[in-house]
Amino acid sequence: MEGMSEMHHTMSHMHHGSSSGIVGQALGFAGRLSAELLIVLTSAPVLHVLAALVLLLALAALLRPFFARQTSQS
Amino acid sequence: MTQQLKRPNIVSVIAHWGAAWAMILALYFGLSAVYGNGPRQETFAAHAYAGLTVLGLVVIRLFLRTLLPWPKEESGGSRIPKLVAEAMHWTLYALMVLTPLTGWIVASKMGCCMAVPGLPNIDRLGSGLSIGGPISATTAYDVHVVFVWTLLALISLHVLAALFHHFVVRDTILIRMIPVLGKRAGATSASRAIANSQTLPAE
Repeated sequence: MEGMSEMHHTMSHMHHGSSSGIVGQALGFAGRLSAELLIVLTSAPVLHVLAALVLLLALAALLRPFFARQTSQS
Repeated sequence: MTQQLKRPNIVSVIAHWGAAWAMILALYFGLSAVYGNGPRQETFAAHAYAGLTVLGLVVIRLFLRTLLPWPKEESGGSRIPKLVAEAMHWTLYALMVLTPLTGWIVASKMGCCMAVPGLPNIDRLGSGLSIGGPISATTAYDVHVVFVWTLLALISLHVLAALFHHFVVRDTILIRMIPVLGKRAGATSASRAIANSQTLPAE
């Protein structure tokens, strides 16, 4: 259970590690964040869950006309 | 004569407030797990369950929003605030899906020290499919933290916008999401409709 705290502290040190001016730090942070975001969004677990969500919403979209008709009749 | 839909369905309204409370709990337990002195294992498990509740509720909301008719925005006014509001809502939905998901990845990758009872390993969910790349716990955790603070900032703006609509614009956007005030919402709409009909020139 100590793993999470250690990881959190490591992250904090990584964020404050370099000192090449505030613009450089901001660009570095933005670049690293973009890369990590891309890794997360293209990772297997995220794509699997998003694919399942898209299928579920496609099913809802297919059923929508039926429910719209029922709503207008009631 | 077609009647205009005034409020979202009741399940979506309940899921909206349920997700709001679950997010408050997830934030409280998450901060307690990282910075608190209490039992970390139990606190982290409570954080994970609250986060998964948010994920479940937002999936229900997205499903119902696609399945059932959604109330149309009141006509009139500038297009830009409506586009901003629409973008804000969809960003909130995306973050409410991705934030618990990244947390789930962290919990699955670090099963050794942050195991959550009853939580399936996310890697096993799509084991038959070969899409997507690998991801480390640190990357998922880093993005999870950024998502949490972004989500909090957007929720603050969401609450401020709802209060602005209620107290400044004086429309029914906040009231239609509070079922207890249903009668009042109906009365407000009716009085506004009467007021509009009185100010319109006779055709």
